[in-house]
Amino acid sequence: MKTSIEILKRGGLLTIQDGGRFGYRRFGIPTSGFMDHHAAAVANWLVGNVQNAPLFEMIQVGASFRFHAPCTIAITGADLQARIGNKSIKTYTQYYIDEGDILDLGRSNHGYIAYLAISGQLLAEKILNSCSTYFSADMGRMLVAGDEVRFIPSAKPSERMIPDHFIQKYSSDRVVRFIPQIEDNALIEVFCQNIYTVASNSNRMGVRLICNGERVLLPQIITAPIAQGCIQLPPSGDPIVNMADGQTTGGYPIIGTIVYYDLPHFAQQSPGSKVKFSAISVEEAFALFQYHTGQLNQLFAVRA
Amino acid sequence: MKFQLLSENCLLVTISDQISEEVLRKVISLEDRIVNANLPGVNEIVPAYASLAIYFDPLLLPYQKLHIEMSALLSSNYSSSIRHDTRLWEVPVCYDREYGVDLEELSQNKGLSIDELIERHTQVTYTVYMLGFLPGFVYLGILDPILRTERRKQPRDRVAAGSVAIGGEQTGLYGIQSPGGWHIIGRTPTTIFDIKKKPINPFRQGDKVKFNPISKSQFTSLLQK
Repeated sequence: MKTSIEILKRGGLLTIQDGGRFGYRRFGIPTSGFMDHHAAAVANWLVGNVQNAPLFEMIQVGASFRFHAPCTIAITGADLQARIGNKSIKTYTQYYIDEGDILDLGRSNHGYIAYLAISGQLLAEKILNSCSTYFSADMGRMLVAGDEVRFIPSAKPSERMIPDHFIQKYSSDRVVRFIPQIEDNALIEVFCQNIYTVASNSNRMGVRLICNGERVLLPQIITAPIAQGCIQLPPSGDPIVNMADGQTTGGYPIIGTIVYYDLPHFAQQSPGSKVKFSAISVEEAFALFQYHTGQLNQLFAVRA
Repeated sequence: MKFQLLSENCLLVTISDQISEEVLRKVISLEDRIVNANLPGVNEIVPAYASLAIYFDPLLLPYQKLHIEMSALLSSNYSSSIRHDTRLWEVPVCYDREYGVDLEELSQNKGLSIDELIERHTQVTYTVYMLGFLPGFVYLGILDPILRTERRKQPRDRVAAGSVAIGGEQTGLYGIQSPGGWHIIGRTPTTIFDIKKKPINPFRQGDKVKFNPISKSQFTSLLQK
């Protein structure tokens, strides 16, 4: 039997992503992988997959899929008003799919990026040890209508519900926390007083922000490595946040780095959304990292 | 020397605020030492001009411990020996205005003719200071002081693969089409980045590069090969 998922409509940006492509940053190859690592992990948990298993990532507008084999699915992240046939379905919930079922997703009610996980292994090409699509360098490509993605179904996962605190809300009045990368507290304060608008030319590489207020200007630096979440300040004063497909080094000064567990919330802000920042200490950032990583590890440990 | 926690899993070690061959040797030497130290929890090393990033697993290797290990590595003497197998690359570049979209503006700002600008760019043998930014990007130094130019205020969304560009006191090659904030002065028909090849990028830190100017017709015929 051919077990596959057919793409009927691609919607916005439809790609396959996994936990990322590690070990090649020295060649300028970004890690890629999930833009919202939290929602992706929860989707994989709901269908009984490992945390970093490859799944479908949909940005801005949802896709349509026809299933050529039964499986269990879960959709997390943005609410793209999903339906199986004519029946509306909820996010963060397990659903059983029959052979021939059509899953249709639309525009976002809430959030910007959605994940579709299926119980089983998507057979996407592994390039440099990862199935993550990085189409700028021809590592995989955007999926389009007519594409068929094969998968190896796994045994039906146990029934499970995700505890509420794992479901993130993407309201834009939540402040995004960052670790400052400069020592000048006065400049950090100016930066944090501003409200920023997510620009429409943002993408998986970088989220561009428009500064609505006093621009912070920093001296240029010698090109140096940069990490995911780094808030770069070009001379225009409009920040660019380095995301999953982001560059490995950069020459723009960096005012701070969004903490790992606020990146998902930040990534879910759609163009036009307003963003505010607040600085936290390295110690606080590590405490958050340990807490959230511990929570996810526990979740996966219980139902491995 | 400066330690900076760039994110929860990345320690940036900045060796100098200058670009020089001496600093580059220190970066290469430091990378060798970290590799040899074989610390559990160190996942990836990304060397740059005057700094180096260490990606680590904060649950396996607390950053305070990494800090201490790095200080120890840095306090012993640098061997400062550069790799012996450095090579000289001759890279053909077409400096036509069609590819060098910023030539005109640069020539006006510098008060140099375009020919003079090209001559100044081609007469230097550059050193590969690092790879990175995006796949295939090759950072070269050091530029003739007259050619040094701050990056564009607003980066372009799209710069063609093979573009040769100027940014600050650096010059470089774009391996693939990508966004970029540097000033574009020409284009090479040579393929720089190919994931099917090993290594993915043949240029290495410490290698030498010389640009050879070619005509538009040479560019086209080389591109078709």
